[in-house]
Parts: sequence; structure tokens; C-alpha cells
Amino acid sequence: MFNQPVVTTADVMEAMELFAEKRWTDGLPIIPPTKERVREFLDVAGRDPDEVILRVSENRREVTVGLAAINAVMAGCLPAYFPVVLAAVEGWADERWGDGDRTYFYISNASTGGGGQLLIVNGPIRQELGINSGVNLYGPGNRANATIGRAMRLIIINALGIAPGVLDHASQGHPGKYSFCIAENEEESPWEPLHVERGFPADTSTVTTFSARGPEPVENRVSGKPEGILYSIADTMSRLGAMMGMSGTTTVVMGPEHAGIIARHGWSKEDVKLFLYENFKRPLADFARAGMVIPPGSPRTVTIGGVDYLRGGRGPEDILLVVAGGNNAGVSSVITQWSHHIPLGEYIITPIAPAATGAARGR
Amino acid sequence: MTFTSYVPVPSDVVVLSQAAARPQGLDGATIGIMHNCKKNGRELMSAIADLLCEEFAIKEVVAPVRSEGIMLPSVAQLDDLAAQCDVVLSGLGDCGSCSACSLHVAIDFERRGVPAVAICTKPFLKSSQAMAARQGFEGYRFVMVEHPVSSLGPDEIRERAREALPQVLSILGVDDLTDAAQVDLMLADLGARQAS
Repeated sequence: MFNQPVVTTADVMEAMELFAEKRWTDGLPIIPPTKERVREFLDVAGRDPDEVILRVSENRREVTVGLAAINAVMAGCLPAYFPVVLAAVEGWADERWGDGDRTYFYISNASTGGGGQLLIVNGPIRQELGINSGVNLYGPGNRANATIGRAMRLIIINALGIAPGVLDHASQGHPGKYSFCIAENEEESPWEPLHVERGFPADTSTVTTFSARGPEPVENRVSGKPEGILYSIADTMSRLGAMMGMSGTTTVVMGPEHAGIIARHGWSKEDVKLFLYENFKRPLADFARAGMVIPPGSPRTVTIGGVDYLRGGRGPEDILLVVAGGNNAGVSSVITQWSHHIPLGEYIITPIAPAATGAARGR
Repeated sequence: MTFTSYVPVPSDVVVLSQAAARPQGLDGATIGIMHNCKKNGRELMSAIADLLCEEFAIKEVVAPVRSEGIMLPSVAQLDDLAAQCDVVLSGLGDCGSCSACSLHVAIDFERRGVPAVAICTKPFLKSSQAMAARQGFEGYRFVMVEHPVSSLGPDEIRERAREALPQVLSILGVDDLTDAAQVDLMLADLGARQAS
């Protein structure tokens, strides 16, 4: 028995207006969460609606399966998408997030830094649900990507109460705060996918969670060499505004064209990560010029050829590398972490439980 | 015809709590400072403590304590400082998360019977108020100073401390404010409310 309170309105339109007025939305109209619709989602999950899947102690809030279902309905998800949403919330609850200090999760949602919550999906569920990993990777047009990503934001606003202007004080934020869900283009990648790299069987579906800035594009349509492509990616990683002083993982979303060129030269994922790690650095003099003084001898500073640098990563494993996007141009992107403090190489990858009801279909 | 939707937010009940008793003056008091990782937080609160020492016969200002967590102290740190101090300053609240956490820390001290004053900057009024309400301290008062603090030099930090002082005294209930100082305080409050 799910004892969540209800509101009654004359009709659907009035319900949509009420939710907007109560600031229970992300600014876009929502699908009102009726008992029947939420029941469908709970049946897919096969779990107790009062089960707590995430606790945020800083502001004393919890996400239950039931609250997640309500907000996933509101986002416009299909019932079959709900296991992805649940797995992502479980990722947020992972004890490795914060590397012993869970306040990093609170910060990732509340701070002026304004990060969004990226989801990267791997495995067969991408085909089952039609989750896009190709052209228009970050863009509109795909129901699964748009609504799964949106459900995550509504959960943060409504279940966690970290709402814009209340506890979320992002100075600017970025559009990924509306929805930020992508899949890896495993089929067009020359390498093993992210979840296999980290020890999951290829046919296990997973979602990787990562609190992050918006994607920074790297257009390099002319280099036919790994070093050229990777140097341009490392350059974008090393921008002054990336807060390199905060140790952490950076996600590189490499387009299939770039990945193909690099792999044809015999480079492995490890080769790529090593090159990027070594070139993800910036002279301290550049920081000083920007008034962001980093004292020599600070963590991750290094002197090479007489020049003092700050390295952006703790090691090659601080590059979280996936292949995604359309195989139609030399375009990759860099997604810098925001308050995503994790142990080196311990990407937060959560298996997605299969739907409890066989009737759930994604299309 | 009616249409029924679930409410998408939890219906939790926040237990209202009470702040610690206000100190009977500050002569002979021991002051503590609990600061987070934010730049100039320790410096600003030390400057405020210096001003308190000028106004009152403060017994001791305990060496500032940096929270073990990125924003929050450990229980041991809270217990330890609470045991030593009559009043604690908590800060710096100059962003979305640290303003909320500075209130969280101040309230942790209030729960231990030690009156505390959180130091936040004006843009984060709402965040600080929201966190206080979540902790059961609706309407809990805290200091608001001009933003930013992180980019200030030492003289400017002292100026900010002077801006904070009347609010600190008022929150602790030890102010013997002159009429002019009362008006200053009202204008500061009014300015902050208009800005939010």
C-alpha cells in the first residue's frame, strides 16, 4: 500500500498548472502522476515504494522508490525506463561517491558551481529502450534520453528538495541540468566499452553516474594522427576555467571518427588515457596570469623542462573514456567533473536490474 | 469529474527545535571558530573575534578549527569545540552549499547548548534560511555580509568584520546598541531582504 498524499484537481490541465504553481517542475510541463500510472512503474520495479534508496543527511532528505516513480512519471518516462532511473539513484548513493565524505554529493547539487548529473548507459538495454548513443547525443529528439535525464532532475528538486533558488544556488548552471543522459556507442567503438573495461560482462546493462559541467566540444576535423587529436582534447581539458586544482576524474566522450583514427594507429584505451593524463596540465604561470595563484609544491604540481605545471588528473585512470556520438565528423567532447570526488579509477557504475514484469516494453 | 495526482514531494514533519540560551554578556567568554574549506573564512571570523576582544573582556579565542569534511566537521570536532566554548562562529557561507552547511554547523552547536553565529554572504540568504528550516530552526538568525569575501585583502577583511559585528552582537543578544547602530542594523537587514 503506497500511502503518498494526493492532490485533486478538476482535470489534467489544472493538475499541470497546480504542479507548476507549486514549483514541483523544472519549468517545463509535467505529466501528472496518477495512481494508475505510478502503479505501472512500481510494478516494473517490483520493489516496496517506501524503500529508501538514497539518503542525503545534509538536508535530511531521502529518495524512496515511490517518490522516484512519481517523478519519473512526471518526466514523461515510459514504465520500462524506470529501472535505469532507479539504478542511477543507487549510483548517487554509492559510498565511494565523495571518497569518504558524502557532502560532495550535496555540494554537486547545491553549489554555485552548478554541475548537472550525467548518466552514461552501457549494455543491451540501450537497444531494448532505444537509448541514443549516436547523432545528436546531447541533443533533443529521443524520448528515452530526454525523459530519463529529466526524471533525475525532478527527483533532485522534489524528493531531495534541492531546488533552484532554495538550496540549489548554481550561479549559471548549464542546460544539462534539464536532462543529461547518454549511451556509449559500443557498436562503433574500436575498444571495449566502459562497463567491460571495469569488469562487467558485456551483456550486463549499467548506468554510470558523474556530476559534471556541460560538454566542451573539441572539433578537430583535420588531424589524421592520434597525437594531434589527443593534444586538442587535452588542451580543452586543461582550460583555466576547469578548476584543475580540484583533483578528480574527467570524462572524455570521444566521437567514433576520432576513436577510429586513433585505434587504426594501434593505440589502445590505456595508451589514450596515458597520453591524455600526461598532457592534461597547465603552466602555473598561466594560472598566475589569471589571478588564480597556485603555489609551487602544491599537490599535483610538477616541473618539466624547467616549467612548473599543475596536472589535472591523479593518474591515467582519472580519464573516464567512452566513445559516443555520430560517426560523421571529427568531433569529441570533454565533460569536466563538478564535485565528483571518487577514489582514482573507481567510476560509479551501477548494474540496471531487469524489469520485474515481463510485459514492460520500451518502444 | 475530478482528477487525482500523487504529491511528488515527501510529507515529512520537521521537528521544531530550540536554540541554546543566549549568553549573559561576553566578559569572560571563550570564543570558538569552526571553518570550512572556503578561502578567507578563517581570516574573517578571526577578525570578528578580534573585534569582540576589543568590545569585551573575552577570556580566550580558541585556535580556529578546520572541519574534517569538506564542509562539515566530525561529531568529535563538534563535541570537542562545544565543550571548550561559550560561543562559536561558523562559516564561511559564500556559496550555495557552504552557506547551507555553515547554518548546519551553527545549529549543530546550538543543539549542544552552545550559541553559535553563522557567517554568510548576502546572495545566499535563501539557501541559509532553507537549511535552517530543514533543521527545525525556522527563522534562525545568522550574519549576512557583502559578497564576495574570497577575493578580499586583509584590510578589506577587517572592514567586513566591522560590518558583521553589530549583527553578531544582536544575534547573541549582548548588544548595547546605540540608536545610530540600531538604524544601521535595520538598514543592513532591509538591504539584504531587497536583494533576495
